Amino acid sequence: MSGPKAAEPTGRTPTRRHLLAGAAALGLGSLVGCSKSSTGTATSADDSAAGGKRTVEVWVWETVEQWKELEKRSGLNEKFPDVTFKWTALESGQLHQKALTSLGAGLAAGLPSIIRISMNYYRALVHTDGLTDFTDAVEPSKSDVLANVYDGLVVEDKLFAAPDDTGVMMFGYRRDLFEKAGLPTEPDEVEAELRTYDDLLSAGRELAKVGAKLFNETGSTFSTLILQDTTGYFDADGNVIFDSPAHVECAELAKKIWDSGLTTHYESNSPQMWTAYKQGKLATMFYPNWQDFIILGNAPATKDKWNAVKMPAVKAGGRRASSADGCAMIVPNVLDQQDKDLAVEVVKFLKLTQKAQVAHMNVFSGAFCSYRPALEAMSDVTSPVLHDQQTYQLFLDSSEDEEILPWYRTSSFFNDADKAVQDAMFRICKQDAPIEATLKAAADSIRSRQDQKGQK
Amino acid sequence: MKAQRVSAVARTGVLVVIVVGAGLLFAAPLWWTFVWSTWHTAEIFSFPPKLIPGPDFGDNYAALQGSVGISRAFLNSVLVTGATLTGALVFCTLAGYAFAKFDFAGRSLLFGLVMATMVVPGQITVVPLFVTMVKLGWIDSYQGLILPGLVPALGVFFMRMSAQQSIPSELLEAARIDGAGELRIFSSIVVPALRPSMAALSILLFAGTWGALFWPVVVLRSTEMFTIPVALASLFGTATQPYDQLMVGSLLSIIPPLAIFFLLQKYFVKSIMLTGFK
Amino acid sequence: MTTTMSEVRAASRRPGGSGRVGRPGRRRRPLRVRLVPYVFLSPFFVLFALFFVYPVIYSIILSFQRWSANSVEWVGLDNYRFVVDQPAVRRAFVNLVWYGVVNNVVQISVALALAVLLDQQVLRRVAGALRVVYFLPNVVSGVTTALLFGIILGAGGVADHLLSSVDLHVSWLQSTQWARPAVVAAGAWRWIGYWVVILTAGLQAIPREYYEAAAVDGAGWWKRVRHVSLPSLRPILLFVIVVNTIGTMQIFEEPFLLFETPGGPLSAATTPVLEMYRLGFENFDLGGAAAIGWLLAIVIVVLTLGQMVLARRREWIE
Repeated sequence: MSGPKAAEPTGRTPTRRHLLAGAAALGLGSLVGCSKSSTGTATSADDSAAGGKRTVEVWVWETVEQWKELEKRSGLNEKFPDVTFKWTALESGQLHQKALTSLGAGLAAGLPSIIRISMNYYRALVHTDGLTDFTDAVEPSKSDVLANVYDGLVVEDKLFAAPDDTGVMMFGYRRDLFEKAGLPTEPDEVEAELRTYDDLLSAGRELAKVGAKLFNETGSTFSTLILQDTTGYFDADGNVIFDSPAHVECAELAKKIWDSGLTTHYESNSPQMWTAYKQGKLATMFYPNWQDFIILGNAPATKDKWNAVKMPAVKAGGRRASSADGCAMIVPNVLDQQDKDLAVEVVKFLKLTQKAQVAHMNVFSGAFCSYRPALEAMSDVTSPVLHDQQTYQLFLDSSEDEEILPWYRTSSFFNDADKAVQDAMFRICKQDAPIEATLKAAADSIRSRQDQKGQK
Repeated sequence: MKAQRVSAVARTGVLVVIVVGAGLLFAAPLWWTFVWSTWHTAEIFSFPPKLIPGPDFGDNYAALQGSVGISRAFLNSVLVTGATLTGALVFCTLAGYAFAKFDFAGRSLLFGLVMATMVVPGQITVVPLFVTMVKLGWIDSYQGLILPGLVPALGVFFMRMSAQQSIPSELLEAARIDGAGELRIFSSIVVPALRPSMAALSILLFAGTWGALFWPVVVLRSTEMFTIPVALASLFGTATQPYDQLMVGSLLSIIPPLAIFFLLQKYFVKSIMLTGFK
Repeated sequence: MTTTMSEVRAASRRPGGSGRVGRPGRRRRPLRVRLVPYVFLSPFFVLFALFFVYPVIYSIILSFQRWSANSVEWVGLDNYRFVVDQPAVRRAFVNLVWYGVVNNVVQISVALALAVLLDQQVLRRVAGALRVVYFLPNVVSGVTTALLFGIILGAGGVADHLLSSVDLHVSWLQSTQWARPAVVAAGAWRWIGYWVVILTAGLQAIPREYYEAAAVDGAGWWKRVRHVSLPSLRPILLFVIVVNTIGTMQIFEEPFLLFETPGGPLSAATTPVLEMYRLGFENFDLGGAAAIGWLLAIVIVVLTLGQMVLARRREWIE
């Protein structure tokens, strides 16, 4: 791979916005790995011969220190005294590529015992036939898992992963800028005021008078809006749905917002965008539960000036909160049975017990697990960024009040669909392309891919 | 007379403006890499663009060290590039010399094979290579990282050309008549004659090896093993790119290739000239 | 190996000279001596076969297969049909032609101009230093180049501010028309100096007498360049064009890293290698990725041969 024109790509994934906005800030939980080191094909027999201590390796994103901290706080070592845990931190894009490649190639030597994955890749990974069946492990806890999350994990009546963190999307606004514009500032008032997106645009016009715009748009507003009243790009069976009437309505709304001139168009999460927030030139943003973390990282001076409320509804009677992001834990199928069993037990401990999940949310502040008992235990936690609001209480209540829909990423072409939608919205917003026809063309391109490959 | 002199001066002036202006265009981004590594991200995007260094290098370096352990990555890069270049030089010089100065069955075929692979995009080998490495158990290891880089086709091509140009066959014949063994001939005649070309080849291969990203990303797992490009690429994954840290990392990654270039540049030009391009 | 070497030495000491034994008139050498070149080649070729030839052949096979963890099936040309069907891949190959032409024109004409200008006697003292400056961008890796140009060409970056001072606004990284030029700009910065050095070597090999003869004939500066420098440079120019083309065919880092979405808005700036990467490493469609790779290889071979044939016809080389 050397030579003057050797072209070397990076491990970045194009679904940055979705994946990394969630995952990086969330710093999702640690996975305990069992019995396999990453370089060898050590069997459990070898390990027990080596003094009884087995090694469980876990692939995660975020830092090893945080996972080690979780190891302590969750009581993992007490529950599994004969196990040494090895955390391997990988950048999200690289993690998924390695997982896909190794699982697809069916090679045990390249894999750890447990991998944390983003739901964006879940279907693709299931299709490699390389994942352990988790149905028996998770089904007994079904009533304790948030309904929309559980739903998203089911593939032909089976589950191939344990539910990990999830997200709920709400809407954040700056109290001080609203005050300046003569708008209400308390959450219940704002929530009543911003009932629909037309209301939001009116508020935007008031804000414009004091030099502030609404939020930063890159053409992905459509993808956020559709999750309020639909299950995303796909239905439960993996059929493409983003050219349906409900989706077209969202696209028209997105175009209206784009054309209003009340938003900025920097690259998402770019320094220019954060400078605008810091200078009070942007007054609102879509606010998932982990956004606290992101704000603390990029514009800490604005903390305590924000509040979060339910999103405006897309249409009359529409839902005012939605699913956001989400990850899961998988165990590769190629491991020895003993190692597999141990790995599954570890995952169950980490994800389906209250103590471990609470420890997880404490270590990775802002994380929102999908295990209800643990969420309820966190109801008193106050947000470091939102003024006088309790994060967990707020997001849990909203998600249940609104009965948020699951986000079905039920196709291994999810990333392709994301790109097709991005391109379609580019044409619609920047080139004034006809909305319905453009969406249909994009949807058809994914359908044809599904047909050609003979799988959803 | 005077008019001629004035127009000559004017022409020289224009010439100087053009070539120096071009120089500034080429140098500016490099200077900025240095400058931007000394400011925080917000200042990097300010206008007028910062032309002088600021006070934040220490902060940025500390942040970078905290997020990706850049000093360890630097050492890894040095180790891997050094080993790869050394090996590639040895193998390519041996092979290039053999192709240039020996007549043997299959010579055109083998050389043609090497040349043919130069048109194949390197990335095409990555997945099969990955599978091979997994089977050998060389994932996340130095050997897995280094070995595929030891056989650049360009290296053989270049050393063959250089051997043809720089080693007179009569000298070799004379040595053989005198009873010198092939290894002796290689070490005392061939290598000294090819030294400038080896230096030039080092420059040609250095940037590609030092900055290599795709293969290391595929084969490496643990942070301690990362080379600089892999470490920086892992920063790309964060929600907001820390441009200031990335600039520090870029600066660190520029220094060794620059140093190598300055050390070896006269050989580079000399050997390009020697190869003659028939 | 030691045994062979000492036997070779022994053989070469026999009368008959240069280790060649056998009947006079017959250049038949003993096996051990004949083995020498193979021995020298073996370190390279063993690794080459294992780490290059084998994967390359394997990838050809891959392009006709579909993989999953449990099975591998032969699907004939399906992968090829699939990739050719995708608009992004088609755009990538169209871009190949665009980049191929534009990169060659931009990089080589500028490099040639600079090389010729620096060759002037009047600049001889600073020429060396300037050439080093031009070459410096080349030691920077592709990742860093893309990073730098992402900042320079980005919204609110240096280029933006310079252009707005003359009331122009170009969205380099967020529009479809300027995406490819952005990639060309980054590539030009990186490679022009490289070509300047090579072309300079060629220029300096031209004997001064030719120029003097032309001057005596009354040729002005431009005529001298046109009738002496350029023709003599033909073989080198061909080399530069061929190598530049092959390299341009493999562009990856810039379209991948410059833009918010790899390949640029609507994949305007995408390249085959980028599409290969996406298909293979983001969708894990190894067969499809291999198919793109081989289509690209075919294009490169055809183009390179085409350039050589054209050059031979125009008598640029023998």
